[in-house]
Amino acid sequence: MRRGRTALAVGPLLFLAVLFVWPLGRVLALGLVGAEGGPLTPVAAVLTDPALRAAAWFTLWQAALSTLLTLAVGIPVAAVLSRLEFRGRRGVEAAVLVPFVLPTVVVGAAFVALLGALPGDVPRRGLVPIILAHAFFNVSVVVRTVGGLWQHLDPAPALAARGLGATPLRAFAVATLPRLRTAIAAAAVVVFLFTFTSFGVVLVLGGSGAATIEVEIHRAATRFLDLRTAAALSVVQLAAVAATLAVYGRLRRRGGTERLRRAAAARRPLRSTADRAAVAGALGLLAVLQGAPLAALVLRSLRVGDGWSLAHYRRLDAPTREAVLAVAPLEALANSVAIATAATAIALVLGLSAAVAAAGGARLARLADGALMLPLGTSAVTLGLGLLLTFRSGPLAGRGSVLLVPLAQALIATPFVVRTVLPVLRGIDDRLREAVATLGATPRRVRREVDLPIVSRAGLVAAGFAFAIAVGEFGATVFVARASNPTVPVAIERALGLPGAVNLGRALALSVLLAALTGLVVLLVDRVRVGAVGRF
Amino acid sequence: MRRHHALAAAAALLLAGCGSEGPRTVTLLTHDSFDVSEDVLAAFEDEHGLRVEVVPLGDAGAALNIVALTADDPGGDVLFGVDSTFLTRALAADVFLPHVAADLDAVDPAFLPPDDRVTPVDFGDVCVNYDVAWFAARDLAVPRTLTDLADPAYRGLLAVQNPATSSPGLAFLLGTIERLGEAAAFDLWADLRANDLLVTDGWTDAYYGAFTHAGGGDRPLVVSYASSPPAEVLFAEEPLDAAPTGVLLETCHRQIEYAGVLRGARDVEAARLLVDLLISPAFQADLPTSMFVFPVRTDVALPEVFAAHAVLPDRPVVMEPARVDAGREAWIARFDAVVLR
Amino acid sequence: MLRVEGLAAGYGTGPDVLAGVDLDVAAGEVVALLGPSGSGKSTLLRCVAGLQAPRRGRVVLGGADATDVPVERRGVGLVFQDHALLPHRDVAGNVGLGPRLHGLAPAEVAARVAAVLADVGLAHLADRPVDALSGGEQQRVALARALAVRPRLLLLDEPYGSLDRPLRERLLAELVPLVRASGAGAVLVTHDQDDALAVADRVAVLLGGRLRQLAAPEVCWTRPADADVARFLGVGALLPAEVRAGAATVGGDVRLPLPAAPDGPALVLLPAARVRLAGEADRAGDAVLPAVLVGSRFAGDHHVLTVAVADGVELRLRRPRPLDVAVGAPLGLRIDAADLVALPAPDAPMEDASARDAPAPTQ
Repeated sequence: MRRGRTALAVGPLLFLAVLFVWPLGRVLALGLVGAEGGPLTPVAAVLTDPALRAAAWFTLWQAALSTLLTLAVGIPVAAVLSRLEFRGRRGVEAAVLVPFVLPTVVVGAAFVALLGALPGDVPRRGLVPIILAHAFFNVSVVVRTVGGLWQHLDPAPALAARGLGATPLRAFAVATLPRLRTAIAAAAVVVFLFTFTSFGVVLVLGGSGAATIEVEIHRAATRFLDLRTAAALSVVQLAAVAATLAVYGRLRRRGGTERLRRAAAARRPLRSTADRAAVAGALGLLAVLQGAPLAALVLRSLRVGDGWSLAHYRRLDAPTREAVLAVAPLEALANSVAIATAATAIALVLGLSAAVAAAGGARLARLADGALMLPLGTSAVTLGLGLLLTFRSGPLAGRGSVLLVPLAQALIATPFVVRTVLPVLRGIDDRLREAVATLGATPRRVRREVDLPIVSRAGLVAAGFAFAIAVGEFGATVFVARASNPTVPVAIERALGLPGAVNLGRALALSVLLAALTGLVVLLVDRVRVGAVGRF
Repeated sequence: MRRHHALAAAAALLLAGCGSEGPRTVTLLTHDSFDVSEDVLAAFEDEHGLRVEVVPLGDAGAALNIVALTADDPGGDVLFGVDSTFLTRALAADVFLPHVAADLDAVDPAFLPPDDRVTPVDFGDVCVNYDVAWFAARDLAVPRTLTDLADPAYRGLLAVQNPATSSPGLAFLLGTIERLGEAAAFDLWADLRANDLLVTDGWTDAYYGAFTHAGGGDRPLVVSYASSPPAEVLFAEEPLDAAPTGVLLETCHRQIEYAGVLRGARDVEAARLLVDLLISPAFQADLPTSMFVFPVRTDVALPEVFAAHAVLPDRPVVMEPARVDAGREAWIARFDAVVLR
Repeated sequence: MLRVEGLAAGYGTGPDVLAGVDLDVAAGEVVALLGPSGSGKSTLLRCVAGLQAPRRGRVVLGGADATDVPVERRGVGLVFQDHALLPHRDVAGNVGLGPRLHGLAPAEVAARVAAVLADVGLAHLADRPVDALSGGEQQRVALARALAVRPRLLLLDEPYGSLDRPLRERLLAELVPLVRASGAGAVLVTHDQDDALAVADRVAVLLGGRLRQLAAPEVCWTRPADADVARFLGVGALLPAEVRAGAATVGGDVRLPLPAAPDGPALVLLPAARVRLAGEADRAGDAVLPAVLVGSRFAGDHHVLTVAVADGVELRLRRPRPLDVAVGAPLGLRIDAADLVALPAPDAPMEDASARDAPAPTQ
């Protein structure tokens, strides 16, 4: 039985070898091997090129600023959500999660809509919109990571500090902050990583002079056909990501011997004006940062000339020539859903196999578990470029073409499936299986009676997330999706890049539909989790 | 159980996406500016029993690069829209099959390339356009040459596009180098910068944003096309007798657009027919009003609005594709250093 | 119903956790398997249930060798401390699982579920989700689930360990008639002597992987098989002694009659329950020991007197009220010579090293 389990790791490993290791190898080989003066010359060239160095600086700089802004908004919100009990708190918690899974391009479109509608001389492209959009996404990371710990922290030390005469802020600094430090640092590293490798948002909101390394990789490959520079930039990016992940690994190892309590025990109802002001402040922050762009997106998608109408939505069925796409935008939506469904199915099969194998604990299986995380740390653009080079040119060209986009999306979604399912699988008490075995169940039947129902519920949650990720995936998809079969994020980005109110309206309308789709899926999944899986 | 249904549905959708019912499809990969009258395509489809799928891939540079990156499986049969700026790149990437188009002898010999893998389809000049009324109102002489633009009299009047991000921007930069030589050209660019030059990311920003005539901006001089004046007439809200904009003929740089049968085509035979369509009289006659470019055939009459309002330089300037290819990257970087930093 | 012969088991390549255990359980009998944690109780249970393969020895169920029979065909019912109820099934779903796995028709399953739930007093909770139940209710469901397959043998692994004392006592009281009625034998694993005393027909004391004693509770508590068992059960004071010609000398000069004991060093057990203070129903022929009162403590419904006997060995006695002498006062202890137990001295060749980590006697 154990050998059978381990065999399950073979599929995911093979998948990874063909769709990750090989394509990545092709990018690196093409860019670095055989370069004059040795393989590191292109990297050195990248690091000394003033324009690319500027891009690297910008990448670092905007990621740092984005992280700071995200923490500045996220920590107060986390404080309110984990310390105070008020009507609608659960709803706010769920709503804060939604932006994180919204497709990057949709968020870009939302900020285009918001900043375009603001009067006066607001920056509509460049650094400020980028860090706002990054904070929009990642506040949920902070709320989840920091709030997740905070709500379980014993409030007694802080109360004791208050009792000794400390102001609330001082009590927080003395008694609470030190215990949250690791969680805050971990959240900061994750946010930094996400914003450092940001692509869709920067492509949409960047403009000239505001490009991340990720965008430069895309530009080098598609605009200048300079694969050597693209590959060298990928190497730089990979090194930076590896360093960040190493920091993250250290933080995680250092974390948590904190005595935890049941969440409810740490929350208290609103008592004072200050409490009410804190809630109002947190909700206000969220409304400005997350509510306003989404509201602007929806409102402006309904705005035609000086009036209101559904014309932009009706035009999604428009003749293709007008849409500057090979298909009508609505067809792109159907296309996206089909591709994401296929990607979800692939990710589920691979992720479940890997999780089941990893739960068995054999070395090969643990390898598969770890290896499946690698695509998460690799830039999506590099992945897309590698897939393009591997499967759309050379001897493998044309093979499995139809499946290339779902496979690419599955590559990115599978780690989430493993991360969702594996803890649940590991958490199943062996005694459950033993008890059922003594009742007369064969090992196979035990799996059907115990593992399957529990894992399938986790699988449902994983499927929801995988679908949301796949349907919004942009960085890899933009390379491998055929222009004749575009996905919605690709169509949105194209439309945003074209002049004219009609194209903007179309992009916004498509963004609203895609946002609604992902938001709906994630909220449904959140219900399932609260309803059942969360209790295991 | 339910999951099986979902999988089946997904599979069905995927299969539907690549179904092969109906007539043979021939796919034209092109840039976003591609346009043609429906009846021209319809007649072609009827005649050959084909369906033409038009797939825009982004701007001209992006379209070629995507095809070059996927040369063995480009997902189309014909690529249209490789301009002279990128011709050598296309030939080096070896994306095309040799093809001698029917009717090639009707094409102006001046446009014929040295290579039988590409077929010229149209041409156009990128030139500085000016707002006729603006200069008339101020009684200011319209500049004539490139070097005139650096004259302090025209300070703060010119808008160009970034050659790194804009196809006409690149064409214009190449034109300055071709006309003046590299050293003098970048001296000029330094002077232009000192003369308060405006650089935009794309043509739209410049023409519909900064240009006094079309965009309500404050720049009466803008890099655009020689065909822009007839377009202004054609799309004027009220009929016009004279074009409201003019072209500085001595600033022009010519771009020729080519098409070719893709090496990775699925249906080479249909692809050849499609390339032939692109230089057929019907398509060529449709070019000026659909894409605002000029036909390469000498035996096609220009529409009236073009005949009346379009001007073309007598001695066009075209940079050799090989020279473009050798210098492009370095010149873009130098532009960046001289003008933008 | 169950016979275990020479059973040895361990984990991985580690040493034997069970080192040759013999045990038998009759139909309708409840055997309490008592031992400290780490003594191998659960391992024994797992081997009997078929969840673990023994290294040596046999498991015989209902007269047939079941050593190689897979768990699902052994026909044993297993109840864990943490209930191990399926979270995605309701009460009836959990209880009905076994009958369904045995291929009963739905109507029969329903009838069986209803009957068993009625037996454990949970008929009204049949369609509740299991995590809506209290701990005691969940444990009843787990018991009902095990009983629903009509097992030949019921294995209960510290079933009430997580429940508070009164509830636990009530559930244990309910358990015995259910086992008797089912006709199954039952093995109750526990480390709690009160649990064992509450239900067991016989008690099996497992120490260091060996079954040291299998006997009726009174026997274990008055005639423990060896010093370790005596210490583990906390039966009384163990006095180092030298036996000569039917009498033991303790504390240098006190002589206690031990007619059956062989000559040589020994430990003499004074079972606390049999020790009387001088003046408490003295009888002729009592053995008498001098002692000193070293402590007296109120313990709810009784007092605990700590007395030091020979060589400072302490003995705890329960009395309804405190003595009217001060701490430090001398006392006389009396005991019927027949209640004295001679046990081999630890230096004597005891074939077992596990005595080393035998725990201190528990009270």
